[in-house]
Amino acid sequence: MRNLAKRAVIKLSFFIPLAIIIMTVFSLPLMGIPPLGNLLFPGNGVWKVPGELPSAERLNVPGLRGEVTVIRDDWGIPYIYADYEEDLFFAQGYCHAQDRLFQMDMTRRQVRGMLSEILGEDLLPTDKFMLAIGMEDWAIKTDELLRKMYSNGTLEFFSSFERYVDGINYYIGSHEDVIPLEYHLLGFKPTEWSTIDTLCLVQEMARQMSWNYNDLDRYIALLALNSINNTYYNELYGLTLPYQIPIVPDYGGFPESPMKATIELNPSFALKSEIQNFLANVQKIDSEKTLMENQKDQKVGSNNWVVNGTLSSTGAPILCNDMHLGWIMPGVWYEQHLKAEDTGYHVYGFIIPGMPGVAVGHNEKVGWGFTNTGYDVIDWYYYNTDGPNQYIYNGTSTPYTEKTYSINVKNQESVKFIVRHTVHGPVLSDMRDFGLPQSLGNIVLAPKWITNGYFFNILAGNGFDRATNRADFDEASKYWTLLAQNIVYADVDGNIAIRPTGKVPIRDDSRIPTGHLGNGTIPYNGSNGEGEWIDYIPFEDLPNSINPEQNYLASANQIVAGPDYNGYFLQNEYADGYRARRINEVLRNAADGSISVETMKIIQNDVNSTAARAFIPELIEVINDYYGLTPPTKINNVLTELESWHFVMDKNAAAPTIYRKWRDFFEDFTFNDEKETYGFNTITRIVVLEYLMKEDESSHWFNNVSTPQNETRDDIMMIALNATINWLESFYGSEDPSTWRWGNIHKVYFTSLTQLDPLSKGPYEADGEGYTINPAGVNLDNMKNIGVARGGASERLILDFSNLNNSLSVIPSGQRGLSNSKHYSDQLEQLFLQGKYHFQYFTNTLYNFPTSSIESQIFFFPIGG
Amino acid sequence: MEIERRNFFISLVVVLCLTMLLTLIPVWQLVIIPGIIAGILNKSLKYGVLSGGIGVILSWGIYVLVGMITRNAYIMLDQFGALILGGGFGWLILLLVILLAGIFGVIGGGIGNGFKTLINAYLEKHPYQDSKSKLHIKEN
Repeated sequence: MRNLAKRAVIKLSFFIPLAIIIMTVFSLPLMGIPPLGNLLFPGNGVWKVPGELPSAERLNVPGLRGEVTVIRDDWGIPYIYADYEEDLFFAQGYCHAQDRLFQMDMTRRQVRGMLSEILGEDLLPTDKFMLAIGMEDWAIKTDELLRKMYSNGTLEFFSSFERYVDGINYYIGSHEDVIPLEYHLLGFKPTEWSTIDTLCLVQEMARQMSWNYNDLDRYIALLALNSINNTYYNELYGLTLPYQIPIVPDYGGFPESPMKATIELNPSFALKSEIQNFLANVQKIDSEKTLMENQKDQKVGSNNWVVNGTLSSTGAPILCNDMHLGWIMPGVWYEQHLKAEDTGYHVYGFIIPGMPGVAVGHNEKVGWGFTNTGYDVIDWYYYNTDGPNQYIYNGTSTPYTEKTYSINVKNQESVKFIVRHTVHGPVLSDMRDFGLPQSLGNIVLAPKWITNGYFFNILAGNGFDRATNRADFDEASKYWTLLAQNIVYADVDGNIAIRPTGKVPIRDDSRIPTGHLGNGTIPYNGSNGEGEWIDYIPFEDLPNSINPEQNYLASANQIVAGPDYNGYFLQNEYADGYRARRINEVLRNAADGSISVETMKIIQNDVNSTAARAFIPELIEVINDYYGLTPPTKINNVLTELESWHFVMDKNAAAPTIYRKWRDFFEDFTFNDEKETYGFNTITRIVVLEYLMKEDESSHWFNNVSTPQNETRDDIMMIALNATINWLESFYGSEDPSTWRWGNIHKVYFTSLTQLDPLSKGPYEADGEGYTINPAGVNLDNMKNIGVARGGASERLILDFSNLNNSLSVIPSGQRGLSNSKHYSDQLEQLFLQGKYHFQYFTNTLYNFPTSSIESQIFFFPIGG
Repeated sequence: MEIERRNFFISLVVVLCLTMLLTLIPVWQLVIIPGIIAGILNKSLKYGVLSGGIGVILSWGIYVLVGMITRNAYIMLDQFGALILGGGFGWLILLLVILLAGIFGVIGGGIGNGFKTLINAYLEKHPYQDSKSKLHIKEN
């Protein structure tokens, strides 16, 4: 007996501790990774994620009025056919959740200050900042207003909007245990979606397009440069950049050298150190750091253009659009086809997942595309404080209004957070509010931002989807309040048009001091009541063009209107204009009847650099002047590469590498000495450098102010060239310029929303640069850590109005945001990177859908049906 | 010997089915239970741990195979491997899962057999409290 008990004790004392140890190891999080057992073992984690869709599935759903069929094509794109429109939106919501739930969830969490709830206290500053800038508040207020309009019968669409949200929640509710991998990795579950969440996504897009600190940056530059010379500021940041071709051609063109003017600076508003302090500290908040980096790398841009039947080979308009955003996995856009029998609603195009309908695309009659307008819709105000609870506004001591938030934080108690508001907006300058130690003492800063207001973009989008002609489209455009866009338009009747659309403030600049630039260009003194927004530009007064004589319209974020538009002030910010120059060049020189869909594909993927064409011939000329017929061997080898180059940023060529690195050095050696000496870090523009190089060879900017000698333009160009050769020899380990392949140094990368490399795609070698029509800009500053391009075309769309079934599109990821799906990155790898597209099947009924392209189907039936 | 072999196969089937059933409950720690039952059902430690280990491996193996076919789970294992070890280590994660299935089965079998031994020791000490033993004595 004793032996038996002894054996039992031996067995149990060996196996039980072993079980406890192993189970504990797999039950505890390690190095930030959730418990491995929860992730890896059957019944859990990776085994409970959605898989590929079955070839046919029947769903009996309560609340449906009729039947809905969702056909997925070879790329997983849903084609939704419904008897009733409300069911159509239900199914669209279902598909969005089925494919992009985590992406939707993370975006709403960011806007609504709910990241710390799942990621912990490190995200508290970001959550606080997002709440402080009021996006969630205005989504909630707008939701209330829309509901009120719906209840009093003035907003029919809201019922479809609610059915869309029902579709998302039906998916979430019916898939509680089968959720995307990211949820398992981060250890949380999706919660119910609401119409407010959708409106938050609109706010987030508006933030990406219009939230910025440019007024403050300009202010630092203005103070620094005017302390040296009162023409310097305008030479670099003058209101009209050179070589601009306006988007709307109806208001004349610009002369090439509009840049010299003087500004008298009133020293009384010298807050340089406070604002520099604020700009340095606000970057400690993750969201703001990312935003500033993206803006610096010029990720936000876009192209759209349209030709009419005179230029096109089909006799009908062809419209193109590629919106440039940060590349993420899954991609920003979701593509779908929607058709409802009862109302005839029939559209095809892209939308941000989490929003109903189609934002960019076409219906049976009209099509449209976006580029960001860059209207100036944010102004910064500074105030003197009057004790801890009041500030001076318009000469009067005024109490802040306060709003209190409660933020849930993972593994700890929720945090109470108070935002103080001035009459203009939230006080953002006191970093103590965001958990950082700095404040600006007796000064506070607050922005007034267009996004802090009621917005009706959802209604505008709904109107676009249903428009049958330009008048309908214009009527819908009046509701396009936030995120101003250059909306290019075409229809089956042969019309083409463009209107940079959005709400633009009119300021009262009667109180600004001498030397202030007005128009919200630099911060206003709120204590003195400067720069109040008194109205908005009437829709009818926004620049507009329809069926222009030039037979095409094109926008690439360049200046909106020419000098003859003198109605209102529109913008401080627009692109350097190289993409616009190239698009205009190609379309202007096209013969009548010569442009086909195939031509448009070539243009959208064009990597011929107008910037290189502007700089390199000048460099070649300077080299020849410097050395005559006998340049040193190294220079001669580089010259040979450049002289045989046709400015195509080909990844297999060496000349693009030389051009790009030389251009960087040329810019640095021209401006960095002044930036360091005078104390400003505002981004300088390449197009200004081009202007100075071509038109003002003797410009003082070329002299290096930190050396005793007086350097000329040619000196700086040659110093830059020698630095380039040394840099590239060192980087490539070769003195032979033909080995300096552009693709080795120019790569594109598609970052997962989780930021995890295994879920990301790339890097891939790529053609192009930041200024080509097909853009991809890299940062080459650090030889040991060369950057990758993380932004560019987020979709490509070509609409053929002679036959909308001949329209093409592609996104730089895949349709489904599930990393185990074949549609996670199929379009990126098989189409986008090769400059290819897929067809859109714009079929009126599901019976016309090509059966060979059907990959899967879902049949929704009403319960009891 | 034959009885032991029969018990082994019975316990193997029990472990396989029970493990499969337990994957429906998202508490992976329960995987120890089938092993324990295998240990109890088998007289010797050897058969207990063997049936536990093999049963859980087979059960998880089938589950994994189905998951890889229906959910492309191998891609995720590969991504997960890349997260921890670098690219191309999905097979290692897969191997780890199968190996751990065996380990959990074996440990469960060991514990179950330990309990069985303990129970036997108890019954030896208190023979009259066991109804079967009582019957056995009367018959004799």
